[in-house]
Amino acid sequence: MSGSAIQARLPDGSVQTRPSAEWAAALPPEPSPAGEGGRDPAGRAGGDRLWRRDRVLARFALGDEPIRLGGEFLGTMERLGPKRPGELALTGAALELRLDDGEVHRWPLEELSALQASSGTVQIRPRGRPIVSFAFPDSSARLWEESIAAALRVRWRGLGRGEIVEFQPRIVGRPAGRVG
Amino acid sequence: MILYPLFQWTVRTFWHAIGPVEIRGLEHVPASGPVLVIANHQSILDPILIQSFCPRPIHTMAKSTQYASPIMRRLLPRLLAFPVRRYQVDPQAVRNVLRHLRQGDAVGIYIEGERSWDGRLQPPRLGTLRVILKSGAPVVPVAIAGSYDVWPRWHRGIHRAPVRITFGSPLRFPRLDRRRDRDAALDDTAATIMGALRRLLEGSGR
Repeated sequence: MSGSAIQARLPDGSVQTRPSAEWAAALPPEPSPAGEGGRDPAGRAGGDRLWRRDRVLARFALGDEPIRLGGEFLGTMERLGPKRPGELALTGAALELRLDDGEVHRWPLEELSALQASSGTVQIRPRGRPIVSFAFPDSSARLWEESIAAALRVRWRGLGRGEIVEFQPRIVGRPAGRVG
Repeated sequence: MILYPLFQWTVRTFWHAIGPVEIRGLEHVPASGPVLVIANHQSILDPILIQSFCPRPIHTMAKSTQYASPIMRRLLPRLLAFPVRRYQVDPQAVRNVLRHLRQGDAVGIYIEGERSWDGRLQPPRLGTLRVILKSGAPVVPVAIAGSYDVWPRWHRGIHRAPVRITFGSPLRFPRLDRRRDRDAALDDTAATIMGALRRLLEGSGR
């Protein structure tokens, strides 16, 4: 079995080994937070219905550090703070983080300017603020990235901002059918 | 620069010992002058392998989070990597690309922007397409196949599997100084580069 194949035991007891891309294609689509087909039945943009909730380890960027080679400035990297346990919830309208120490952060979806997966984490950038990184000890970063992306698409459509074509370096919407 | 050839030699020696690797199309890499090496991205191993088996040193764009540890912050620049912040427009990364091209260097960029989760080719990043059109440098498309079977993104372990790296014929795009012109050319540029990568991957049988 190669590294990219996944072996699964099916409900009937049989065992199948398939490339991961085939398994991914066979999965049913994720339900939308705003109803079937990504449209809110009431015509609202998004909604407060809970779509996903999981334990997270959140890290807030504290600032930037320069990266140099000798005296040459190459760029900057973000300095992430300590891992803080809590719970992240996604609705059709917002991401809400409740940290175990009682601190609460709520980011309306339309105020996110970037979304990306980085290694095993999902990172968001609230507009005009540093990034926040989430690791999911009991869930999948891939699943969360897709869920937030789907919620953002519905939200942007509902707000008349068009179809999202890119989530990083910033979320960009375009009329359907165009690449750029 | 002493570290770079040592790194190449070490990786090549190690890789030839543990798994089959096939390199095709090296004749398409210009011996000198500016060139953009535009590759697909299946595994964390891709930059290591492409940089090691390409005869020219490649200055490669790497996500800034890779520089988090003090060791990587010292090592990566010495392996000709420069950082890019992927969650915001990063003018310094663009400046680094254009500066290296002006100096006649080879610059490596992974056009999908991140590793594939399932091994399939992902859409190109608009920012990369804009840099290509802003530079006007020749583009050598590079398809790496099989690295996903060696070490997919979602797996912690390395498996033994054949890897093939195929360098394609250089593609030429006009240098476009105005953003409006670059934006108008995005669709065609994307189709040309991704089509070339797709053909090279299909030629790899994967």
